[in-house]
Amino acid sequence: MSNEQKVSGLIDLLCFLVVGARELVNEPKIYGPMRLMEASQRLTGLAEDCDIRHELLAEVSRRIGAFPLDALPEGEEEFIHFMDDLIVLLASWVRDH
Amino acid sequence: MVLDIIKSRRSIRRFLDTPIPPEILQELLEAAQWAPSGSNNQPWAFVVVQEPASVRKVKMFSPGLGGVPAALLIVCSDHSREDTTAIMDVSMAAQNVMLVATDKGLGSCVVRSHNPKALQTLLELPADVVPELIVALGYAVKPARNPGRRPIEELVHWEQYGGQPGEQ
Ligand SMILES: Cc1cc2nc3c(=O)[nH]c(=O)nc-3n(C[C@H](O)[C@H](O)[C@H](O)COP(=O)(O)O)c2cc1C
Repeated sequence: MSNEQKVSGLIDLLCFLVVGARELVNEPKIYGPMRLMEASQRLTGLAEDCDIRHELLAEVSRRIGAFPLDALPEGEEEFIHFMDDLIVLLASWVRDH
Repeated sequence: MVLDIIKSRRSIRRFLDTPIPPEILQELLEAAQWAPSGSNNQPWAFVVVQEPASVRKVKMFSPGLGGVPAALLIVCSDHSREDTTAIMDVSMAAQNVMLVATDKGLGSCVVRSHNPKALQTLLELPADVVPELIVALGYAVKPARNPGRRPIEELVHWEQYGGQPGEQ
């Protein structure tokens, strides 16, 4: 991937975060976690595009990709459990490294 | 039947990259044109965005826009016209577009989570022309789950609030 493509990916994510932050001022509370999960997914994708490969990043990416974020907010409880499990995964990794 | 179309419209957030035939797009625009508006003021402007690079740029500033639609209809209020009912008027236009889209086998999703100032900058809109809604359009990857609705008895009141059908 060229440097230009990497910068473009970063700017893409940056726009999503900044606009997301601004729009969340007037949006339902649950949109906050949804946007942050999507940003996390994009971050792992960007890392992969930049040839930063790691099994933890791949696992986080796989889990978020498999979760039906579209189906919210009906599945709010399920979403909270999903985030809790993801946090346990990350904390376990941090503990062991 | 119109009611079948109303009930079968679903918000679609994953699209194929199949383009929308121009004659269908034309019908969608006519559906917008013929929406009702307060005093027939028509305080709206519609911007069609189809170039993949432009769709991508709009998406960058629209956190609520799912997938990569074949086309975007940016539904704007036009404050250079009498605009007291503009928000309601543009909403009716957006719904008209989505119903015709459903009838033509197209998926759609109305998106409010975008940044109007960013879209004004990207699309070079005059200050009076404010993006209110984006209608994302394209062929769906798969049918969307039906999120259901509250029961009709809970929404509808007969003659007075809390009144049951057939009650005097
Ligand atoms: C005013 C309005 C704004 C909406 N904004 C968004 C949005 O930013 N992103 C999105 O994915 N869906 C958006 N939606 C779609 C709703 O989430 C959707 O209509 C609702 O969940 C019901 O699902 P259905 O359209 O499939 O019946 C919006 C709908 C309305 C009416």
